[in-house]
Amino acid sequence: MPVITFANSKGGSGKTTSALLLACALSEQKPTTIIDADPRHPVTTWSKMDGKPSALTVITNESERTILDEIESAAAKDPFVIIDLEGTASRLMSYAISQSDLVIIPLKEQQQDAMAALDVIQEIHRDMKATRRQIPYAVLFTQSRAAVKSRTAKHIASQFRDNPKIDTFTVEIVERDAYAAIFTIGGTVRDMNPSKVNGLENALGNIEAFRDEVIRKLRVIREDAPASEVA
Amino acid sequence: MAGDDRTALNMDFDDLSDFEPKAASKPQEAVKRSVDSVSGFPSREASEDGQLNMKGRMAVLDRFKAMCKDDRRSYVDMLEILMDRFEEG
Repeated sequence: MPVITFANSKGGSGKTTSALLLACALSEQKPTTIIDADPRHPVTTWSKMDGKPSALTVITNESERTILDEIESAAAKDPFVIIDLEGTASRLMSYAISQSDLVIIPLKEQQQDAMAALDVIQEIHRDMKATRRQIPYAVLFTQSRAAVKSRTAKHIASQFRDNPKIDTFTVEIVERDAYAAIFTIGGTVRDMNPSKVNGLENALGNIEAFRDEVIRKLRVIREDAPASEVA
Repeated sequence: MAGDDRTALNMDFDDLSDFEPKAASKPQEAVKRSVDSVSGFPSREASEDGQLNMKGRMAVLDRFKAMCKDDRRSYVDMLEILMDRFEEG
């Protein structure tokens, strides 16, 4: 069923990293496609290095005109489709959102990321009107410090976490060497050499917790959806 | 709890067999039109159109223009037809 889009109109919010971590984790269990709709093609570049899981297909988006086709074919082929977008408010983003079963809005605990996240949430609500259906979304904090958070970080996070209207992931994608390393070494965190990358076990635990929370959300979304919308 | 009608939570994160591929739902042009009508985010797509200026003998240019007019074609369409024929040899 699920098409999961990672969207934030600001660059550097952790979209590509969290999208790729989820895609790799899901592909361990089910065939998964990730659509690389960032014109810099970071996921496509990663996929050309060694170690891409065989159950993971990487599709490079051609243009705004082709995105709906690409989503449709991927969703007909694989149970999980992940879309990584450019950090720009674009019509391509709106098209991707309109086809999503879950939009994940990654953000660093910073004012600029938070404001861009709110723009995306407004756009999701406009797209709900266009498609006349609920498009569930959830905020995901990324690049967070595992140990002590700054006062600003706490201030930003609490505004989302304390807002009953906005769903926020309990799990946070913590700043870890392993996450940066996948783009320089290639392959997945699971296949990394523990002697070359620090904190591998914690990284794997973090990824697993993220994947499980996504699955939990998708199951709740499916339960809540009107019968006509269930795939 | 025995006798409880509440369904149990699916806490199985290893078996994801409840997730399957899905068939297409709505026609894409309709989706695009409805999103276009509400979206606050602009298109960032570069236009595929370009421009070409030509300078040359008036007689050749007039011949080309007349050819397009006779066949009711735009200059670019006629240019493409001529290039295709040229490549076919």
